[in-house]
Amino acid sequence: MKCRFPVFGPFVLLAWCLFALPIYAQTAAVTTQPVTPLRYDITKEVKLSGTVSEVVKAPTPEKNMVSGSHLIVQTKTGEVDASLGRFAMRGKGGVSVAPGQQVEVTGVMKTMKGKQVFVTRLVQAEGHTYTIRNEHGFARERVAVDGAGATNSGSKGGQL
Amino acid sequence: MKLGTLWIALVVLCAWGVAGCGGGHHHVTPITTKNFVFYAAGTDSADCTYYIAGVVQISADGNNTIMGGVQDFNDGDPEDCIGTSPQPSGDTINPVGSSLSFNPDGSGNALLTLVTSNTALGPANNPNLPPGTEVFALSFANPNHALIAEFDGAATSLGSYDLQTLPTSPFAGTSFSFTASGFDPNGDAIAEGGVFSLDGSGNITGTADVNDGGTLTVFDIADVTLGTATEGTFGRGTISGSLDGITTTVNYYIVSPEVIRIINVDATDTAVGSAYGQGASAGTFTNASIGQSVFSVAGIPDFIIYNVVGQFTTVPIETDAKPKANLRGVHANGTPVLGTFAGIEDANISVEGGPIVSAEPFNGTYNLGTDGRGSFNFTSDVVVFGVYAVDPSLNILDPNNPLPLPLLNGGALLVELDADLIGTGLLLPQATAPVPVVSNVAPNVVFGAQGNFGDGERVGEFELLGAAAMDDGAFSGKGFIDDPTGILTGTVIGDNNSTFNATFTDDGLGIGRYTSGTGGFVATSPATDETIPFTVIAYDANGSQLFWIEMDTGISWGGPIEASTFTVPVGTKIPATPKNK
Repeated sequence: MKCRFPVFGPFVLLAWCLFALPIYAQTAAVTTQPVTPLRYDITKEVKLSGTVSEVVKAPTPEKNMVSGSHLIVQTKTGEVDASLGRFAMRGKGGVSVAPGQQVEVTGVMKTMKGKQVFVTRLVQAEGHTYTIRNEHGFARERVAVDGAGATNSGSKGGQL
Repeated sequence: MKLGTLWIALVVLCAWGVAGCGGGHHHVTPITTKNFVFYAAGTDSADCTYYIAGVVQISADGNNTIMGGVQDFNDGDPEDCIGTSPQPSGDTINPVGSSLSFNPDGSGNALLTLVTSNTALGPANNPNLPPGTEVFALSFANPNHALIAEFDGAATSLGSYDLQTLPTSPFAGTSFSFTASGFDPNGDAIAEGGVFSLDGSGNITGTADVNDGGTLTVFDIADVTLGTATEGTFGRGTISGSLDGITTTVNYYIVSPEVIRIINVDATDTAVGSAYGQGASAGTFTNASIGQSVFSVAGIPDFIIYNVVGQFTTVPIETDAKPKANLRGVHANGTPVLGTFAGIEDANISVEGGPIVSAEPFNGTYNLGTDGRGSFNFTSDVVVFGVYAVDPSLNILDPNNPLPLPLLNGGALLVELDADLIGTGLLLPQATAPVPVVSNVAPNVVFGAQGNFGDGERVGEFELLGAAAMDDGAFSGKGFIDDPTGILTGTVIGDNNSTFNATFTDDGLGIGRYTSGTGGFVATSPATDETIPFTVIAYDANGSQLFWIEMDTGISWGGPIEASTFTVPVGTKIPATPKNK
């Protein structure tokens, strides 16, 4: 079948294109980058054991590490960078371990700054358990030692 | 001067003196005073997140003499940080040594020095200041409102400073929306928002959404009372009972009959927030109460670090609703009427190793109940904002100065209600006819930026505060760089003579979004000879109110830009030539 108005074809196409421009307040799928940080999936938690080879309280910029303190743990399968966050070694109740100590760390392995980082929620050392993140992976402003402070729940607020 | 003239002058002066002293009677003319309520959130000298709220009484005779006041400070950690102010008294603000001094350049920049009874506060390493002294930087947008930041090397923070107008009668039958954020007794970050109503006896009832360390709960507020706050108490009172599920100690400061600042003064947890009245709209909110808007959401200072700023439009009612939806928030069958929203946002989570997204489109559905409480559910990401609408006639950023028509007041408070981020924010109506353009931004503005920078070794907070001239996008400012840990350049900066320069251009999207270009916002500290480039994006609500965000990797800030009645003197502009960061 021949088109009766071949000259109009491009204009019709253009008109359709105009109508196809995105219109605000429609819920059609929007291709977007996630605006949330890497999620901490507690179902993917693993427990690693090893010997602390280095305690990094404040990494230098040259180390290109995630901010906050770290334990470099030598495990059977290799060296692991256990990230403890910015508050774990602060204050009187902070995590206290030294190179050569045996530790057990619980957390989730993630890729951060192009490197494998073990985002650590629990550190067990010298018979103590330090809770430095909650089950959603948020670092706590203060470390709980041996269950002090317990785990987070919505009913334990103590806020406004 | 001749001898006779001198005598005449002396006689006149003596006569004035006698008259001024009441002719010898012991009568003291009371000095008229004004109270200003302030609050701020930031990082204190022990590198702990802290909150402060208070009221300062100032003479209204033009001398700005500090007459007294009271404040509450709380970093929620008496073991490793400072702790909270003694309760129930709080910290007394002593007139002796306290002062408010304006920069003589007429910009509205000022320094407020408060000598408090809390000797744990202040720059202990500064022998020139007595223990308990705090110094705040102020940038006045008008005589009744300023942005405020602690500026004494001991702490840094950002907040608001507003004229206090106490209600003539108790709050009665008044409905409020509120948000607050901080951390709980476990040290978990917390953000919460909700709505409540007051009866004539101070009883509070309502509903709160709580994001406690990523765990979400809804709490019915009951058995809570608002204690009496009178002139003699500087409008400070105590809320008894819990707004989120736990009995706790919360103090409040009345700014006006429709605005209250609230601060948690518990020993091992802390938070600060605000409650805004819903006015005549209480009980009648609908999806249509929220239209085209700009918004800003931020985490918790030096704790949960991120900023998101954006703009969206709304369609308040779904187009395929069956049965035909009304605008009262629910269908006849009880299900919520869902409106839709779509917009553009800029987000920076990079200080904590997260992503940066710029001019990112988003959309979703929303619902606002008649009580003003609702939510925005982003379909383009796993994000939920709790939303709490305020009186449409109330200027959230400057409660004493409603915007003149045809500009829109009102808006809403926001709380991030998902398991991945914890923060609070604001939503302001955006002018639509026409949408703001950079050439129409107010010629004089004040600005506040609360930022964090992670240099790979540590993370620290800094603040920028000041007044600026805006001329067709050319931003020329003067004010304060406060970097008490030297996180920005390696050099500690506390410079009240800093300059700020940028050229903002409209991004062409037609949504009131302006960009400085990469490194195009330049802050210069003459005192330390440091020049710091930033990459900034601003979203314009109406030419008088903007939110901005810093978008470089590892560094971010959020905060407001507001129209000012003061004038930044010409001659402060310097070439925007970044030197280092």
